[in-house]
Amino acid sequence: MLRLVSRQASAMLRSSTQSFSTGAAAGGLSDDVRQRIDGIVKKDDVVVFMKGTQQEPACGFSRNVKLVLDFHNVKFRDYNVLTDAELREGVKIYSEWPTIPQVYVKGEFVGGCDILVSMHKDGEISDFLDEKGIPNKYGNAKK
Amino acid sequence: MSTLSEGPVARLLREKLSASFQPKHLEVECESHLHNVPKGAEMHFRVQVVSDAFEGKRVIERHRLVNTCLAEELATSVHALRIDAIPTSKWDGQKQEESPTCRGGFGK
Repeated sequence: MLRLVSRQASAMLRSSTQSFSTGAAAGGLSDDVRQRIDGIVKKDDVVVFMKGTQQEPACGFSRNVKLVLDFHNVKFRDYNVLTDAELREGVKIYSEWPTIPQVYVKGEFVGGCDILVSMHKDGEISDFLDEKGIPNKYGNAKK
Repeated sequence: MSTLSEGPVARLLREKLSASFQPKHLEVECESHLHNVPKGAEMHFRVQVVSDAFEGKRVIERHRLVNTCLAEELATSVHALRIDAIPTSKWDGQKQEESPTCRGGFGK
């Protein structure tokens, strides 16, 4: 029952995401939640909203993001959206991005799993992290 | 997976992507069988779209175009979407990444 209610709530929230992303009024996200997420993405240099934790990811997409960041020795702060419904739906609206995981670097949205993996494969992730001043294994700081 | 056996959601995604991007190449595949959901569910998809519409756009912008095109489905029936959005000039028949192994996700 709880699950059903929470799904209905998510469906409502999600429909706000949609109207937001199509240019309608920025409804659907209360000032409180927006401020909370603002605070989270600015507090740490690299932030990942994920399912599960970096020690125990609960979803293959979230795990892939963790593996890419680990590979480059990038320290990040994780937020488990499975234990935080407000964050789970709120961050989708905040980022205008419909899926989890989501990666932020220095307060800027970078992308989800596909994007992180493609930045890793193309090798551009080291340049990107260098540009943002984030220490990483194959970046300038190590050369 | 052939288009003959594809379900209604996959067909809808295919139609929407075709209409929005006039793709040179388009693959839509349901991957729910790889995930922790009931048999026959259509919730996890991968799409590979090759289109002139992606020329000169950064990867995040290309993904946003696809997400926006499928916003309605992502807000309702579609739980996960893997996106490979390729500008026509960068298309050489490359295959999309493999899906990551499911870690339980929805069932947890």
